[in-house]
This record gives sequence, structure tokens and C-alpha cells, in this order.
Amino acid sequence: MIDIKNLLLEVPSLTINRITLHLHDHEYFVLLGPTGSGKSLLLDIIAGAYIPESGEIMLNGRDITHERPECREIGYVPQDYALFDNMKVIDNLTFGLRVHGVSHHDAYQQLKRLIKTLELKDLLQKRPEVLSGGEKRKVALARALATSPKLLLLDEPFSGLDQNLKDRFIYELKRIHDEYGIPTIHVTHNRIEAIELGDRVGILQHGTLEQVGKFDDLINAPKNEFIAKFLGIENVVKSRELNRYLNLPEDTTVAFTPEDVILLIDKDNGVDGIPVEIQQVIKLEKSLMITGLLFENLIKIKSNAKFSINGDNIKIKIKKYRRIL
Amino acid sequence: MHSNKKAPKTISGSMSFNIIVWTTSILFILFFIVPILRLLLYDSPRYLLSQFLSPVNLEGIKITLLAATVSTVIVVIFGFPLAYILARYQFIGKKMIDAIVELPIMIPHTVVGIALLLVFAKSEPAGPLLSRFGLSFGYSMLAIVMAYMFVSGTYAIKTMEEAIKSVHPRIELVARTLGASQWQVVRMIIIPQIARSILTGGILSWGRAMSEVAAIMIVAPYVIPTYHQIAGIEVYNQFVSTGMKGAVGLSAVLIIISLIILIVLKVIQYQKIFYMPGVER
Repeated sequence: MIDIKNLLLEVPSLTINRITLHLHDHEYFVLLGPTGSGKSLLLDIIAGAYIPESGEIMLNGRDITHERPECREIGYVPQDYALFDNMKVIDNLTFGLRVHGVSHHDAYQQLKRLIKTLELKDLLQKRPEVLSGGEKRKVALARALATSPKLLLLDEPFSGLDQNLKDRFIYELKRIHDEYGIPTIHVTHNRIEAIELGDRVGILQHGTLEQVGKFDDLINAPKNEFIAKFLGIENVVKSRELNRYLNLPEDTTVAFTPEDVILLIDKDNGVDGIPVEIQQVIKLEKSLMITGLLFENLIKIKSNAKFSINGDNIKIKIKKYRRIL
Repeated sequence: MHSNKKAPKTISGSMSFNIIVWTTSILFILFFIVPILRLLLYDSPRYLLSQFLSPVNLEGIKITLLAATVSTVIVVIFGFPLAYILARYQFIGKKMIDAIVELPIMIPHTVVGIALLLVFAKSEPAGPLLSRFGLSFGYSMLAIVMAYMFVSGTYAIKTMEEAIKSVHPRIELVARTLGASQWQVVRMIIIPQIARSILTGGILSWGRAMSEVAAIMIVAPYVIPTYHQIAGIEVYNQFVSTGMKGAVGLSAVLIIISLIILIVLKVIQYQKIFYMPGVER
């Protein structure tokens, strides 16, 4: 269990702004945020690279805010793997146990299961520099798991992997998480990873944790425009006229995806259709992507309609929308 | 293993560019090599050998090598923490420390000798401290080693500093999250990863120490009680007393010895025992 309270740290380009976060036992937490939002910095603070200006980090009831990294019992897999290039893979894996005084032989015996689980046997005698990106990642993960940490930190664990490898690695990560049950903070800018892996998801922007919750809850009730757009809800509109159509209070902001929009064909062109002025139509393989003006707000509409668009104006219905809180 | 494949041909540059680049380079190499070759070929090998075997010269070469080696070992070992601090820590006055480390390269070396005397000579501030340990500074091997350290330390420290910088701090952080202390990180990761640079820094420092004469002329023109002199001063003496012929012999011997040691160290430096980024083994 990890409890982060009011964590504050200013570095030249960024402020980690009073972040509070609670992780349950066995929880897989995905921290989503764009590049430069402070994800890696937050992990560095938790791992012990920096002392926060205020706030505290409690791990299983123990205050580790000012503890040295070697005392924290945290496993860290940074984005660049940080493998020890002067050692073979096997020595990388046993490093954590060896510095605790375990002999090389005993360390290897202890790690046999982990090596089997992650299929690392063929890599053991190799040097990190000859490994592929996917292999390096597995080695870095196994090395972090080798010391049975109380918390696992993963920084963009899938960046740079092709889709095939990514799918396999997501599967492996899930399996490892189920097997070892170590609470995990996984930071990424990719919302798909949040959907696939996260028990809960947090959104980080400019060093501030904007919203935390289950992914579905977040996508159904995003707190602000940034979160809505970041979660892939491309259309965010604040318009009195639209709100009148939707019977919403005047100053409501609504968010909807291009797929949430239904084009009304001629015979449905009734009174309740919302007018959209077409700006651009792009033909995709099986659909149309329409860019249009909805009461002077640029929106995107994805339509499977087989008819061609005539004229500059269409009418739409929004079948599903979220009110931004 | 080192690859046996030929390097691929690159697209050739413009003729004028190539001519200028190559001619300039060749001229520079000739500038280095011609005086040395002239010196080596000035007299017969038999004469050089007799010079090498002369007791005065042997003694001079011995104390030069010994002092330079001791000085190098000391600057590498004691320079490492300073290199580490400069590479890793941010603190007020860091630029100042950095400038101080580079200062010895700029100071005329006679001035170095005088400055050292003003601190360590018997009547000066640190003189009594040395006396307490039964040491004295002037005309001693200690003075030679310390002068060597002063003029050559910069090379070892700066080389190690750059090498430590090349090891990403996050590697240290990860090693520490795995339970390694800072000592273990330095011993098991930093030093193995920069071993080649440590050796390179050592070679540069050693070479610089070997070539020092001016500072030694001030602090220990000869060593009491043996009255032996470092080889560089001996060359000067022979030049002044017997002219070119006398000086050339020892000079040639010094060059040959330096060359042999340099080659041996370079061979060791490129051995597989050291971690080499980007080279598959």
C-alpha cells in the first residue's frame, strides 16, 4: 500500500504540484500524461532521486520520504532501461541480491522461476548492448522484480516497441502482475495502455494530478477539456445554442467523440436536427471523416453513411455526450 | 569480437577539400615526427645503448619513471572523488572549483615550483607538518612527486569527470533502488564502465609528469643525499656542459622509453577486459 500526500517539488522547468495518491495492495495504477507533464519526475521522487520540498511518501505504513533509495524497497524500470552495460544479463539480474550479500549461485537459484516466467534463459550470457528493445525491457523488468520490491515503478514500458511486441508485453505484464501482485505505478502517454492494464487511472498535466478513477468513469465524466481530449474525446463544445438543442443549462460544456454523432439523412431532416456547416470531408476506407462547424466550434464527425454529402450543410444528432464537470 | 568486415566506402568529398585536409594533416604529423626521428637517428645505436647504460643516466631515468608513476597513481586515486563531485553534484562555487582544477595547465611551471616551495619548504606553513613525519620537501623525491602531481593532476581529473558524466545518473539511481550503496555503485558500475577512461587519464597524467622539468629545477634540481637528477634536468646539464652530442643520447633514450610505455598502455587500454560501449564481444 502506498500513500503519497501533498508531494511538492519545483525543478527549473516543472513543478510537481501537491500530488496526493493512494494505491491499494496489488493495484495496477496507470498515470497518464503528455510529454513534459512530470510523470518521470514523479517516479524519480518516489524512487528516491529527489527529496520533495514538502509532502510525504508512505510505503506500507513506513515513511520513506527521506530514506535513501537503497532502503526503499522499490523496483524501478526507467524508460531507457538503465541496464548495467558492463555486466552480462545474468549479472544484471542477480545484482540486487548480490549487493545484499547473496552469493551469485544462490541468487541464480532464487531467480530461476522469474527467468522462466519471462523467458530469459537464452539471454543470460549476453551483454545488454546486443539485446533488442523488447529483450532489454524484459531484463530491466526482471531485474526490478528480483529483489521482491514492495512497489514497482514502470516508466513508459512500451515506448519504442512495435505493436506485436507491445501486445505480447502487455500480456506478460498482466501475467507478472497477477503472479507477483506487486502494486505498480505505470506512467505513459498512451491511453490504450491505461485501458488494457490500469485498475485505476490518473491524469497528470503540468505536474498536477487532475483526475483519478477507473478509466470508464473518467471517460464518462472528464473533469475538464484537457482530460476529455487526452482520453480521445475529440469534440469539446461550449455553446448556448447547442445546449438549447440538448436541453442543458446554458453554460454547460459537452464532449463527444466523432463516433457519437449520427448524420441525419434527408427524410429524417426534422426539426430536432442540429445544423453543421461542412468544412472538409475525407473518405476513409469504410467511412467518412467530416470536419464541420457546429455553432462556430470545429468538430469531427465519423460516419458510416453510404450516401454522398450534398451541399455545405448537414444536420446531426448527438447520440451520446458527456457533460464536463 | 572486433568485426573483420571492411568499413563501407563513403561518398568521396570534393577534391579541393580532400587535398587541403590531407595536406594539412600530413604537415602536422611531419612537424611532430621529424625532430623526433632526427634525434633518434643522430648517432649510432651502439652510442645510444652506451648512453642508456651509463649509471648517471640510468639513475636519472629511474627516478623520473618512479616519481611519475607514483604521482600518477596518487592523482588517479585521489582525483576520482573530485571528478565524481564535478560530474554529479551541483553546488555553489562549482565553476570556481572547475577553474581551479584547470589552473595548473596555465601557470608557468617555474611558478609552480616556487609556489610549492612557499607552502612546503622547511620554514613555510606546511614545512613543520612534514618534519613531524620525518619528511622534508626541498631536494627530495617527495618534492618531485608533488610537483608532478600539481602539473599533471588536471588531465586525470578532467578525463575521469567526462567519463563519469557519460554514465547516466539514472543508472546509479536504479542500482541504488536495487539495494546497492553509493560505494557499491561506484565499485561495481561506475569504475568498470569508465575503466578505459581512467587508464586514458592516467596515461595523459603520466606523460605530462614525465615531461616536466621546470618545476623540478626549482623544488629538487637534484635529490639529497644521492645527488641524482631527473632525466630531463640531466639532458639540460649535458647540453650545457658537453653540447649536442652529450644531450642527444639521453634524449633519444627518453623518447624510446616513453614510446614503449605508451604503446604497452595503449595495447592494454584496447584489451577486451574493459567495457567498451558499442563493441560486441
